Amino acid sequence: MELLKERSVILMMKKNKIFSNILISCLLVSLTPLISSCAIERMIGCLSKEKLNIYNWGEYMDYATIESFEEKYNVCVNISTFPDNETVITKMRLQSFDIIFPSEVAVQQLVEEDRLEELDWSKIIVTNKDGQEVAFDSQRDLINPLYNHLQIMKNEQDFDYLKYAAPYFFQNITLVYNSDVISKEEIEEKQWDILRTPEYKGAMRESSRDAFMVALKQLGYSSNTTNLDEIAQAEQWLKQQKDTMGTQIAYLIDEVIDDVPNGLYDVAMVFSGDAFTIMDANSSINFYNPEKGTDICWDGMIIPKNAQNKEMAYKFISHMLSYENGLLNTEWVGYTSPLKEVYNDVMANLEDERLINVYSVITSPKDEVYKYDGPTKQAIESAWSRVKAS
Amino acid sequence: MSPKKLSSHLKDYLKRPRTALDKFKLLGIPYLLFLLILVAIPMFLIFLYAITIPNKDDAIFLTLTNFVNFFKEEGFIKVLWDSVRISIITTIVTLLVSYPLAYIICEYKLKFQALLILVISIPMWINMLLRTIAWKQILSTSGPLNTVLGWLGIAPINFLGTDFAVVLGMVYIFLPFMVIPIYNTLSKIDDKLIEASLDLGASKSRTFFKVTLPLSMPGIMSGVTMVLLPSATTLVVPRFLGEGRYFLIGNLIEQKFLKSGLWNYGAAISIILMIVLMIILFVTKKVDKYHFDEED
Amino acid sequence: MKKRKFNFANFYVILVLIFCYAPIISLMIFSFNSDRSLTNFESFSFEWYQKLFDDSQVIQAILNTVFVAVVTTIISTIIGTIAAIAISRMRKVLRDGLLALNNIPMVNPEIVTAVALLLLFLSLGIGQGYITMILAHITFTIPYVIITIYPKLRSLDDNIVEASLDLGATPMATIWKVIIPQIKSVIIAAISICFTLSFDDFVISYFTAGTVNNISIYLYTLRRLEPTINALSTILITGVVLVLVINGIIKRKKRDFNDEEE
Repeated sequence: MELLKERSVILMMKKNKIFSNILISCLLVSLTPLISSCAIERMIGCLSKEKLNIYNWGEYMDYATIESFEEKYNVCVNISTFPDNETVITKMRLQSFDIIFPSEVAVQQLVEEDRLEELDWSKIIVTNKDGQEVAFDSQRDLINPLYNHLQIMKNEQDFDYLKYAAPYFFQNITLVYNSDVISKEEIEEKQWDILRTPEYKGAMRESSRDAFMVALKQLGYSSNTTNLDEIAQAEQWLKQQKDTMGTQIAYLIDEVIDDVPNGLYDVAMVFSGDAFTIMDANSSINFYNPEKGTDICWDGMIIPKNAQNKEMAYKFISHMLSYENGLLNTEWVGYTSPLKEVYNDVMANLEDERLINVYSVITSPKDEVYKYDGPTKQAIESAWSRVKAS
Repeated sequence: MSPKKLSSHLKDYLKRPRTALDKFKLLGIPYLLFLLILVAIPMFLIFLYAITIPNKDDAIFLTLTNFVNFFKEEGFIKVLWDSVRISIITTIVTLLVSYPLAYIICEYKLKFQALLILVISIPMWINMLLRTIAWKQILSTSGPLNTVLGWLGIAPINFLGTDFAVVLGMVYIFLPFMVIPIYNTLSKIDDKLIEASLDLGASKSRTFFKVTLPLSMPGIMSGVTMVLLPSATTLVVPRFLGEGRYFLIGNLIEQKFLKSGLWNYGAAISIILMIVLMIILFVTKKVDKYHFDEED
Repeated sequence: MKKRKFNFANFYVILVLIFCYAPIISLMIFSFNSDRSLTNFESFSFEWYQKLFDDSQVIQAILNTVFVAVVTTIISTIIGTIAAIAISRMRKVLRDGLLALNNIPMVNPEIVTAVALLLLFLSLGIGQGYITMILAHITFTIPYVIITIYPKLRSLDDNIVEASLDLGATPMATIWKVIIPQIKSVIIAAISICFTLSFDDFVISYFTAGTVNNISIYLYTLRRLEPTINALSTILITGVVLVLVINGIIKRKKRDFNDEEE
């Protein structure tokens, strides 16, 4: 039987010796335009320079900030991308990155697993709006909502986020909906249950934690509950959703950013930064933060213990926390910058009320920040597998 | 063989006159190293992880917990079932599309045949993710397909996230893998056999079923094997065309390994997968042999 | 020889071809779209091609992919060719055993190979840069090199090799001057297979990637789909078609000259 496979593969290739020529010529044709681009020059230069390995969400930085960093310090920045936090936690064990951009709940887990370097803030010097180089002061330089949450975290959970990470973007999870199809009243009435309404094509986020947050909030529980009974009820909620909605519900990650403005979905749960981009692309889309509560989160830069180039990593953090780059990044990606000067300037330039509201990440009393708890996380993940498989 | 004899045999073997040809065997050393380090040891590691569970002391004690857990989760049996179902449908559809195609191609002039096969193979050169994403655009509710249906007065149908979309995507990806082996076998069938059968009075369809089809069995088996298991374990098509609703074995392993970090569990699932594969190979080998014997 | 008399048959072939090429044509058409939408065509524009050449991350991913593919092809072809030569000289038992072992990475579902390699790299603690990806790619390409080259080796006339050795050539010289020229065509075929497999790989790369992205991983983790990718595909497709045409013309010219063996 293997012989058959052999023969077919060989014959397939042998019969068409052209393939070898195609291969070579194809490469040449496709590479010629590349050769003339700066990227090739860069790659050749990279062989001799110092390297910095970054692990980030896809398309989460304005490349101009990377280019300016490379020029300033004569380094070669190597970017790898990941689709979600879980992949980071796993892949980190295998590869040694210098800077990673996980979400705050992943930072909590990594600190517990003792995999992060403590940040030496004396090494972080940022350039503010006036062009001066100053030390970073969290109270002065961070926007109030984030600063307050960090304080709460420090006092109530005894977790000092800034000890290990430098904030990058601030967001919450919100509902975007097509206002031509769904009325404001309806969404205010149904809250998260709008995603269980078969008349409307909905998109859930393909994430165990986020999906369970929605279910738990709608049922009136805390998204940080450790009560297994409540989690079981949330599992039922989600299973029912899959059941009733059938083909009317999809589990997506970032495809929504293009799909929602194109009208593929009537309602979707997205991060506020993506909501910004979506609403910017389509004026009939609006957003709603359910009063039943949602998740508040932020991504930040960390230096793993197994990083190879820690000195350069500090310079990178300083670079990204500076006004100029903070502004470039937030304008390119659409997520809210936690840097006060940047935030104020962006808000001053926004005109569309929807965009102003979503950028400011309005929070309500029932909103929570995820708290990491190992056993609960396992329980939720197993439950999510069961929901997906149901 | 008593130890004494063995050792003397060994000595003789080592002392035998070396021919130049023996030196050729040394060429195989890099390959042996490769087999050992990159094939044998990883396989062994999968087995090891599958039958152990992580514990703080790093102690190794064998257990079948991982397998038990797998079978206890009713949801995961559904994953297996979904994967099998989709892969069987895909294989059958691919076969039904490929066989006539290969047959028809054989009717053309030889040069044209080569051209057609080449044309069919070219899509394989383009990145699989790109082609899958392209199908996603075509099948979406505002995509070209629904636009065309709209002209015919049919309301937009939601194709994505259905069995139809997932199977379509898979068939598309695996089509060349089925067409080419079948074509190869069919093109080799001696025209004279067909002529003889027709001359002896058999009708066209009888000739087909009794002569052509059995002779092309090896190609069919080859194609089926190249489509069956890969279609059950692929990651890309369920993700892009399944709207996240399709959770197949590949996605399950991805989740257990890359997201949950449950390597032991993931390894156990991989073992189960390999066992299924071996069963399939065993069955196809038997069918193959059967038909080969029959042909004689 | 047989004339095309079945119109239904022709129709069927055309239908299948449309099926095969619809997404590709769609990719190409939308690469010229001025809007970033992949479902509504706005107006003709080259902006995505411009962006492609400026987008360092995509280019980086492409170059990574090509680099890994080239290195993999070189290493795999060398190891595979000499291994095939070695195997053809072995005794039957050892030979069949090795060939059977060789099948494992080919027959295993990709994801199992990926998982196995991941566990290996984890245990060995290596995870830097290109190494893991190259090792992983070698793993699934060498078997194909061997099964491509080995049958042809078997069909070679042993006497020539013996003669060469008898006449005093060293084994290395024999290999280089006698064996390799005869199997040149299959080596080229093996190179093509190797490169394609490595270039287009996703699953194994995704699991075992070091700190490098290859083009498939980049696409899988992309948050938003951009037509710059369409631009890239269009370039590749154009290259393939161009070469086909050129090759067709060259072949026709050659055929007019003499009989060429396929």
